[in-house]
Order: sequence, then structure tokens, then C-alpha cells
Amino acid sequence: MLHYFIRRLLYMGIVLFFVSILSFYVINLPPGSWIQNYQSELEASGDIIDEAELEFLLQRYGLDRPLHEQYIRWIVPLVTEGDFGQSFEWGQPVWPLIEERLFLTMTVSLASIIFVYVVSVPIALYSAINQYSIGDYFFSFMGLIGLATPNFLIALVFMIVMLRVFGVTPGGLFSPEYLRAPWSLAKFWDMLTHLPVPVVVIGTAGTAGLIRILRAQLLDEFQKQYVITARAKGLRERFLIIKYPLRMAFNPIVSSIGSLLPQIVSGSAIVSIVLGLPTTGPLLLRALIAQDTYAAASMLLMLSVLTVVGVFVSDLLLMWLDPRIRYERGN
Amino acid sequence: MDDVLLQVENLKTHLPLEEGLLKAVDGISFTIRRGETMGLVGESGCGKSMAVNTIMRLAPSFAQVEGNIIYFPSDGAPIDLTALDPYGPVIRDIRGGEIAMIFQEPMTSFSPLHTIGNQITEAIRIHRSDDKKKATEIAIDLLSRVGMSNPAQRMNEYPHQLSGGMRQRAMIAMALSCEPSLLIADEPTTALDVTVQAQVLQLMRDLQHEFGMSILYITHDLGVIARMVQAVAVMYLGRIVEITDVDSLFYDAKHPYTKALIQSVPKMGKKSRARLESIPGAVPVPINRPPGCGFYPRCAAAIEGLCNRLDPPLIQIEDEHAVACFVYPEVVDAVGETMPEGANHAV
Repeated sequence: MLHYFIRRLLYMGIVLFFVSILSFYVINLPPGSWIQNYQSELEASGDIIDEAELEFLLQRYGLDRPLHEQYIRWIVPLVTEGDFGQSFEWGQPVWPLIEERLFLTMTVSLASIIFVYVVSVPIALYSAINQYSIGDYFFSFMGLIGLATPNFLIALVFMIVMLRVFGVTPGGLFSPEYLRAPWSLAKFWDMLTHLPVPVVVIGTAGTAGLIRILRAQLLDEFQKQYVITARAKGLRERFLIIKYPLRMAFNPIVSSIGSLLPQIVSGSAIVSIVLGLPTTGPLLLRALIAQDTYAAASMLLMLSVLTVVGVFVSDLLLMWLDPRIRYERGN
Repeated sequence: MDDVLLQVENLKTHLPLEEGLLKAVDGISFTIRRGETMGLVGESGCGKSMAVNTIMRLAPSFAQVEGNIIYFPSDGAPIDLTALDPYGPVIRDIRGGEIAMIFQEPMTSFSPLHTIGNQITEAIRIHRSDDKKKATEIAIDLLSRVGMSNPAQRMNEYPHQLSGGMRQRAMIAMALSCEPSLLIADEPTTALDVTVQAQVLQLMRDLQHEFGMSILYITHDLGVIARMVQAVAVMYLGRIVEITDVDSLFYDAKHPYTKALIQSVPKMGKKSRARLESIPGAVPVPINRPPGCGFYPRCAAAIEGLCNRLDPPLIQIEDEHAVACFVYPEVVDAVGETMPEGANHAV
């Protein structure tokens, strides 16, 4: 088992190494650079460009060097000192810039995943047990609508309804008075009260999808011989459904937690912009447009770290749930 | 008749499907006595599994069940199982407790996610003793009695860690865990290889002596029937076509289908290049079946004008030997017809 953990950690390191190279390379693929953008912006507004200043910036960020050297100048201090480098766009270190946003992204994502599971598991159970009932059709219909509607559209509808009906402006994760305030219990509570709207908006499509998958999975499991065996033992129907088929149906779902995480993180970028959420999505978009290499690459790398860890956790969960996998991995 | 344990009367299990009404079980009657082993034989798809699933009330919920299944408990009044709510408490007490079942597929009959011990003690705790420790003791004792090595250790193992034969032993232990009066074995050895099959059959016979239970044995394997049972019902297309004791089945079969079935068993010492006997045609699907005997299209002894027009009822023509075939004048009399001129009796 220990052997397995060590191997997995090693693989994770290798994956992240390649992710860092790839993201750095892709960010630098578009023609031009941040310096050139900056230059043309200044020219357009009629400012005079100070050659010395340009030279200073080039030197400072190492932009006059070849790409692999730039990469090394970024990755080495990152790994050795935890220094994520400078953001060109903001003219300040990357880490303080993304620290809080990463935390908020994770909070929103985890809350969304929990929401997805809490809502879809009971509905899928109900739908599977009462297949082709009116309730099943109702949930299927709602689920298909949820699946077919883009999240940002739901976000817009939400905002309009909140504004017109309740007279509140939703959006953001904090009330204005807490926006710049340092973290406190009150600020945390304020965040929790703002969480439901983005969580529902981000989680809707996932919930709809999971209901479909889990329902089909359960219906499949209901036909299995071990369910009939359990019934032949004289078990109560409700008890046996929870003990056997639901537990079985959970396997593929637990194994998909890992892939759900990046889906939610990347899928929520547009929603975050619409709802004005201070998550990594909008910042990452801006950094990519501005070719703010270090900021963008650092964010992508951190999101990859979270995803890889998420996959690892879902694998551990799966091993805990399924003795067959435990057995296989143990050897 | 006070030794009767289970009496099935005119049992019908009809499944309304999109293609039509599937008469999986179409009016079968038989009786199982205490301590007796009865065999239910027939080809795949003849409705034998559906019949026993109906007895356990495990048939699909959309199935239309008619007839009576009277269970005579050792104490208390007879219970008609067909009148019970299939998810209700009365049938749940009977299932596993009074009537237990062994299934064909030892590979899929256990949940792969729970230990063998968990799945066996579960049944014990419902029917016998809610005490966890005592249930574990009973389970370990049973596992050793069905010939499992290291029974205490097996309790904590998962089904994938056991071989097919071991799993079927565990399945038998689970079925016997509550000392049922009737054990229904639905092709319990079909998925096992021959040597393991012999061991499992021997085991079931030994345990039957020990527990004094009745067994309803479902199989398509006549070799198993010869070893295991006293009385045999032969099923074809949802009906019982012949019912008799095991000796007259092999030496004095009456129904053309039974005869063909016995002839299709390969025999030792026969010319090795001889073709294996088989019954021409296949079991028709019993959806919207035409009138007449179900075996008529495949029958060598069919009587035109009678077999394709009327359904032969199951009639007792000898002591403890009933058959549903118009070749026998008693059966023709029973439907109030006369044997057509020139019909061939000597089958």
C-alpha cells in the first residue's frame, strides 16, 4: 500500500512538471509579448516611451532571453523558494495576487460539488425506484433543461430575478463592507450567505448530469443477481437498496469526482465573470489576454495541482469503497 | 396429506410485454412433501426459473400472478403466498427464513463490495438472532459444515477472493443459515465444473439429511436429477407436461418431450462417432402462442386435428404418474374428445 502511495506521488510530480512546461509554452505561443502590448498601448495614448524604462522592464522580467531560460527563471525559484515571480500587468508578486482567489475558487468548487451530490443522489434514487412515474418524468424534464442551459445564462436569469423580485443585487462573494476587510468570522459568514447563488448556478448542469448517470446506474444495478439474492434473504426493500445497489452505483461516481473538479473550475470562469466572483477565472482570463506569462502560468499550475490532488483523493475514496480495487492496488 | 409442505395450484405468471402477453408460467400444479426432493426439469426458457421466483414472490413487479401457492408451516395455519404483498413483512419472514434459495451464478449472487461474513450474518440476524456475536458464530459453524477451510478467516474475505466452488458453498451456507423448511436450488451447479459440481451435490444431500428439509431442484441436467431427486416435474413452455417419480422418468417416460429429452443425453459406451441425439426445433417463445399442445411443432407423435387444436391437460394415467399428451386415451377422454381414426398410439 505504501508502495502505491509513493508511486502515485511520483506520478503526480511528473504530471505537474509537464503541465508547467506545456502551460508556459502555450501562453507564449501568441505573437507579441506583454512588453509589446504595453508599448503599443502607450503609443496609442500618445505617451512617449522611455527607451531606458523599456530596457529596464525587459531586463527585469528576463523577456529578452530565450523561452526555456524564461521558464527556468520562473520554475526554479517557484520550486525552491515558493516564489511565483512577478506579474507584469499588476507589477507585483503573483502569489499574494492569487492566494485569496485560489482559496475562494476551491471554496466555491467544493461547495458546488457537495451541492451536486446532496441534490442529485436523493432525486436519482427516487427516480430509479419509481421509474416512469410522474415524479420521474418531472425530474427528467427538469434535469434535461438544466443540462441544456448554459450556466452563465442561468446566472443572468438569477441576477434579473433577484433584482426585479427581491430588489437585491446579487453577485460577488462579499458585501461591499467586507470586500477589502481582512479575514474574520464575520467576513467568513458573509461569504457563506453569498455562496448559495453561485453554487446553485455552477452546480445545476452537474446536478442534472449526475441525476441521469446515477439513475441509469441504479436501474442497471437493480437487475443484478446480488439484489435478488438480498431480497431472497428477506431484507427490507429500503434497506437493501441503500446497502447494495446504491453503494455499487457510487463507484463510477466517486471515480468521477477527480474529473468533476477541473470541469467546475474551468466551467465556472464565465459564471464568475457574470456574477462578479473574485475567483481565479476572471483573473486568469485577464492574465492570458495580457500575456502576463508568470501570473497565468502560476495560476494554471496551481489549478493543476488542485486537480491532481483531487484525482488522488477520489482514487483513495474509491479504494476505501471498493475492496476489489483495494485488492488490486495492494498487490 | 399432513406431510405436505408446499402445494402449488394452477399457478400462472404472465408478463405483459410490448410484444404481447408472455405466459412464462401457464397453470402449473405440484406438491412438495416434507423431507422430499423434487426436481423441476426443462430446457432454457421453459419457465422453471420464473416459476420458483414466483413462489418466492421475486417475480418482476409487473407480472400478473394467478393461482395459489399454499405453504404449510410446521406450526400455524397454511399461508397462500400469492395473496401476500411481495414487499410485505409476512413474505419477508418466509423468504430466507422458511424458504431459502440458491442461485445459479455464484459469481454474481454475492455483492462484491461486502464480505462473505457480512452477507451471511445479515440473513441470520433477520430471522434467527439479532445478536451480532451469535450470528457470527452460526455463520462460521455453517461455513465449516459446507467444507470451507479456515471459516473464521473466510468471513472477512470478499467474494472475488473465493473460487466459484467456494462461492457456491458460501451461497449454500447462506441459504441454510436460517434452517429453512424448503430449499429452492435454481441450477446451483450449472456454472461449476464437473468435479466441483459433484462435491456440491454431495454436500447438498448430506445437509438435507442433517437438516431434514425439502429441496426443490431446478435443472436442465438429467444426470443431476438422477442423483438428487425423488419426484420429477418436466416443464415445457410454461406448463408441466409430465410428473412422476425419478425411476419411471428414466425407465417409463410417457410424454414424447420427456422421451426426447432422455434420448438426448449422451451415453457412455455408445459408438463414439454416432451423432448426438437432439430435439428438432427450439422452444417457441410463449408470446401469443397458438392453441394446441406447445410441443406439437416439434413432436414426432403428434396427432393431426387434436394436438394442434386442443391443449392436453395433465392427467394421472398411472399411480403417481401424470402426463399431458393426447397419445394417451385417458387424456383424450378428459377433454371429452375421441381419438381420431388411425391415430398412432404406440409411441
